[in-house]
Amino acid sequence: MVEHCHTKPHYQINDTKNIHLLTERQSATFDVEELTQFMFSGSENPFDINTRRKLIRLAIAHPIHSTHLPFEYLTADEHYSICIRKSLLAIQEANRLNITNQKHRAWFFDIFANYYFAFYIHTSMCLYALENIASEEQKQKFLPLAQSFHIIATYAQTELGHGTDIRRLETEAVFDRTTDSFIINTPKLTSTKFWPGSLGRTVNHVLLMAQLYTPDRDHPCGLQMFLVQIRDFKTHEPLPGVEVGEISTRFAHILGDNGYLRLNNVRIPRTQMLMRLAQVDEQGNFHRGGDARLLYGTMVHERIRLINSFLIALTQAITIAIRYSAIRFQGQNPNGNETKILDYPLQQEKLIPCLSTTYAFLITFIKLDTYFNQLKMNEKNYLKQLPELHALSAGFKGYASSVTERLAQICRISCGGHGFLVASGLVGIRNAVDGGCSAEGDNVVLLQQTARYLLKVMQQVEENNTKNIGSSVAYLQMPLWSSTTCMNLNDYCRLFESRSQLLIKEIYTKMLESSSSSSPYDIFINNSIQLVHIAKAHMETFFIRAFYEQVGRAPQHSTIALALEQLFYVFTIHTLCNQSTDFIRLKLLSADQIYELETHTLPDMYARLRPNLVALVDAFDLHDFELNSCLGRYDGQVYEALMERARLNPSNRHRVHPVWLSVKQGTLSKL
Amino acid sequence: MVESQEQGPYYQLNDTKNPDLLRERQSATFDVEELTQFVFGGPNSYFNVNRRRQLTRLAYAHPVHDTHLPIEYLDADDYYSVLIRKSFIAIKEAERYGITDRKLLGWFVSVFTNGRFMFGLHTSMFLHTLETMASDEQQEKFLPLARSFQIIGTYAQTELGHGSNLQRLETEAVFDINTDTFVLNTPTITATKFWPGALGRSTNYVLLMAQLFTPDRNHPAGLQMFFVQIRDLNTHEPLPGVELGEISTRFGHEVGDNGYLRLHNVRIPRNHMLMKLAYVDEQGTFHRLGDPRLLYGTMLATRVNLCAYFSILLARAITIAMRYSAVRRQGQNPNGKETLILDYPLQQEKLVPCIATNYAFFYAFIKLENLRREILDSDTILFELLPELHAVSSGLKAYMSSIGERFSQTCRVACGGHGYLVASGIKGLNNQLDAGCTYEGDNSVLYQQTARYLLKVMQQLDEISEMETESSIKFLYSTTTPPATIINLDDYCRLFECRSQMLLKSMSNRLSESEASTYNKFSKNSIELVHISKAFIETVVLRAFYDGVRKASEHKSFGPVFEQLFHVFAIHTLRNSATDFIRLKLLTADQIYQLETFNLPDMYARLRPNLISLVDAFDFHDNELNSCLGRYDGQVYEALMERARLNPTNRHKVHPVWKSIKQETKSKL
Repeated sequence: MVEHCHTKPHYQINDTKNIHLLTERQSATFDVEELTQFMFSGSENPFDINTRRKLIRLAIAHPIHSTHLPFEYLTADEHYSICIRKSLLAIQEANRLNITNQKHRAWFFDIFANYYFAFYIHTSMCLYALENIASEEQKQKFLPLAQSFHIIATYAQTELGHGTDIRRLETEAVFDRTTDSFIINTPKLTSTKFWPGSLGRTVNHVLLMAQLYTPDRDHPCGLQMFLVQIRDFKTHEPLPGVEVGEISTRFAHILGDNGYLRLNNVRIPRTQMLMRLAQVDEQGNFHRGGDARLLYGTMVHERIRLINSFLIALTQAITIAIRYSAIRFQGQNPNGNETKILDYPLQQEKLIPCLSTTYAFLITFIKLDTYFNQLKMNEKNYLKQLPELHALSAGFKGYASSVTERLAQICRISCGGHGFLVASGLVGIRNAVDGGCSAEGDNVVLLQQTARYLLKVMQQVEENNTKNIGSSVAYLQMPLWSSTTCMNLNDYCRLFESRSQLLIKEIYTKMLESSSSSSPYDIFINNSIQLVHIAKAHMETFFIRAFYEQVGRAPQHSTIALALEQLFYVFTIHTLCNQSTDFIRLKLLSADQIYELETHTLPDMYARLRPNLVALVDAFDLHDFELNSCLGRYDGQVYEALMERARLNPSNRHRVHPVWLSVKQGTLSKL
Repeated sequence: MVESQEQGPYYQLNDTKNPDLLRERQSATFDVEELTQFVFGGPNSYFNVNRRRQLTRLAYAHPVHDTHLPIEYLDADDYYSVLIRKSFIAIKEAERYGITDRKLLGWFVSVFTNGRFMFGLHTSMFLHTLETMASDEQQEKFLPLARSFQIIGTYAQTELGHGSNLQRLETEAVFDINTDTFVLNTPTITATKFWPGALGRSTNYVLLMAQLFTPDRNHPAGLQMFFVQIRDLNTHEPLPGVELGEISTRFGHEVGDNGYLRLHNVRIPRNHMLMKLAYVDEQGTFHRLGDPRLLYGTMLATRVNLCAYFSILLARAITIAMRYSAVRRQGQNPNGKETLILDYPLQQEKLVPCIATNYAFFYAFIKLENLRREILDSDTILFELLPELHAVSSGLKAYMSSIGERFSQTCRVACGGHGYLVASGIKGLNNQLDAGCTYEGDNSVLYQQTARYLLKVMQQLDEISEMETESSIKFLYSTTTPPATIINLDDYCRLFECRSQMLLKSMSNRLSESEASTYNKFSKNSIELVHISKAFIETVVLRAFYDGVRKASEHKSFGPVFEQLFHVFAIHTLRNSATDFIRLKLLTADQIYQLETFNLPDMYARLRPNLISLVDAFDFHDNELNSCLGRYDGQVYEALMERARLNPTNRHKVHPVWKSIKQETKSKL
């Protein structure tokens, strides 16, 4: 059935109703679909646009979508009910349509449930963990139940008192030999599991991260993962010893159903500790087996998934802001006409760097994801390259989530007051990406991990031991860039690589020098601000290099290549200006050169890109259903949509709000 | 009754329950209350902290506050009902206590309603506009009704299609000579009044900004303000020809009751146009009276107040983040102990610049408020100084809201996941600061207005010889020599002044050399003009803070602390515009690197023992913060757990949707 769906773009130029938006689309110098295909097509491409289009068409065709008000008008309970219903229906539909590929299923679920698929942790992390950390026997027993959604699970790691630093988790599993079971407790207030998604009201099992004690209470064996049932299959009621509920209201993941969980002497059979990497036998003896690095793999996998979700959010935000800026007018020019806000240099200064960053991140993501998938085919290579993958995925997540948060905020501001409406779509996007700054590892913690890796590589370079050096850090052993002016794209790459190399070497030397007087811990802490800085510098280098490679792949001298090249310049110069002190101090560029780039080259690029701005966001080919934005609709009917949405507000069903009836009857004070 | 209330701080050291937080408080090198009084004390201070404490205590003592769940658990309708109730009770209570001074009244009703007083636009803009723009006759007729809340109004200006650019508003008022009335219409969809606060369900009148046409449809006479009834005073029902309602859901001001309004041939008597500055006679002839600059007054006063408001919002955010960072532990040090997150340099790098900036904001505001008093509160408005007030208040509003928004976001991130709960209190603050970037003038537009003023000043430099010593633009008239090295605090000020002056001069020259039209010149250089405005505002803020530090130097205990804060603010601000200073040869890249990588962390370390006391000195009541993370006593985890258990969804053991799913499954089996 999926095959029958067509793969054409969601919209054609003549779907445009707003005349100004039409003018923009007509002014494009390239064919939008050609760019879309160049960027996002192919089954190797993480966005695999043609398949995605089919799945979107199938998902949004279902009649359930027209049965409810916009989400912002539902109460918390209604909201939850609809998401659960849609999520269950999404699974049924995916089965009916025979969508089996895991990635395709995930897309289908996401779209079908308006990005609020209630079991996403189950389908992504939990199934993945069972596949990779459960023993063969356990897999046979639990995987079919989990795959058929009989078992619905979440990942219960974060506690009230500890998040990022998992060694300090306090939930405990004590082996009891007489019953061949583990006794599980959250002994303190701070050991309460707090935050796991879908935990509050949804799941019947958790993958519980807990401190193992075996053969008895006096022998700690570190963190292990346990499969624990918390709700009854038939009644969905919490089991004895389990206190579970939703935590207090969040922004963004209102519907993530984040929960808390307290366990009081809950017993599970010994065989429900996940046993691929470590085992406890009947006598309570603890054995390690298997390669623990596989756990890293899970983290890398999850992080890549998370980066993917910011990037989709970012494409949505910039699409909304640019389209709205092409239909909104403000101020008067000397001809007495109003000015389109996209024509203001100050608006371009907000949005074009944002657009170019979006392309830079997308391109880099495609590169990283493809690399990850290639490596996974060969386990030996994969384990060897894991440290590099870990550093890159941690750095990418740390860098991109903060930047994406800021850019989403800029998009909000560039839409003025209307950007403040939930119906703009921007509010939800910004909250979601803000959440991403803390989820799956705090950004500064992650960037420090990238920095650790860089220091290790620097050491190898210093020791001339660079046989297996990863491709992303190969520049550390290259000669410095020595030209004095930036001429071509590759010069910019070399410029950033040289800066990054100099910075890493500088801090490496500094830390080495102080190693006689301070402890490694103190040295690291004392330099942590700069270590985060070098990690960012490295990531910038990586983004720019990836962007460069992509420009090279575009057909030479084509209009697409030209537009991408302009975006490359904007991204690079914008990034450079934000870090100008580095470049000046390291004598790579002078302050005057940077001023020149910032005040001449950059606005010049804005002007060149101007005719293509709308086409460049159209190329993301987001469906209006996905955008869910009155401001970003493909047809440009913004004001009509805003007015319609206002009228839908359930508060307007009263001609007079009930509280005023009591005010008028003088009964207010008695309430 | 107000007078008899306790004036002391809300909390004492021994109210602290968390031992880590207690240690922080004990490590302070100065007395918190002394600092509070120094910055916020005194009957002439805008903040008048002692009086404020009395009002706050009275407001929180009322039993209505115990009658509802935390507001994040109320649905939209309940939320609105609670706020209307509280707003009415607040008014009554204020009357009972005899709180009449407008500022004190404003505080009281705001605290009473958790910062969500529903008639705020009525008591501020609506009344103020009637007082300044209605004729004496109109005032006599309308003001008593408005003051007694029989008429409750709002200010209806923004339309669906136009906000910042007033000239383009489309709502129209056409004079009809036969009936001596105006006929009001919102003729297009974009003319719909959209966003005005309290319009959706609350007000019965609006002050309507509309294009006047008189004596007939063919004669436009520009924007005027009209006094228009929209709901019946008895039934509260919309009047004929009036379509109104709430707009779709917002963040930040969920309960501002922002509304939309469409008017279809609504007639109002001729004398319902506000007539102090212009009037229409029976023949429909339009006359101007009075000085239209009077209109500025309200706008400027609003903008000045916003600067205080933004400073307070940020102060709340940093209080929460700082206290939580003194309770939360993470990571392991070599002794096997967990580290307090406030001890991490990376956490200090987030929070210390924020607290330093916050103190700078308060001093910048105090300076601005003094300027406002001087200009607007004297017997006759000092019109010649209005442009300066306009430029500085516009620039500061833009600067504080955008910097405040970013810092409050940093505070959110600094609190990790828990910062993400509504119960952290930070998200709401961030949303309010975010909204502040747009309302009362988009920040980019405001910065450009500041730039215009500065360029005008540059062109008149030679003509003016004498200058008010207190003026914010004084430095533009002197030839400041840049300091070769930074030795004392004044050197930072001079650096910033030189930078600002040099940037302005080169722009001024560039503009006068250019042959393009004024419009094109400004448009083409707008990015740099905004930059120049920011540079100017940074200079103003730094100088204001400098004055505060000088005053503080008489106090041995916190004088040095203020100097440290000043260093942090100056260096942090400077490094964010490093290219300017290097390019203008005011500093070298190596100097900036030194300042950033050595002096700044050094200042963090020096400030470390006082970080909690510096936020304690803002003396927020826990109810004001409404934060599980920022409570004075530090019982963070207890509060988080309690709040989670309160979530109304937890009243179900099994959520109803699962009950029906389980039944459906059964019935199919």
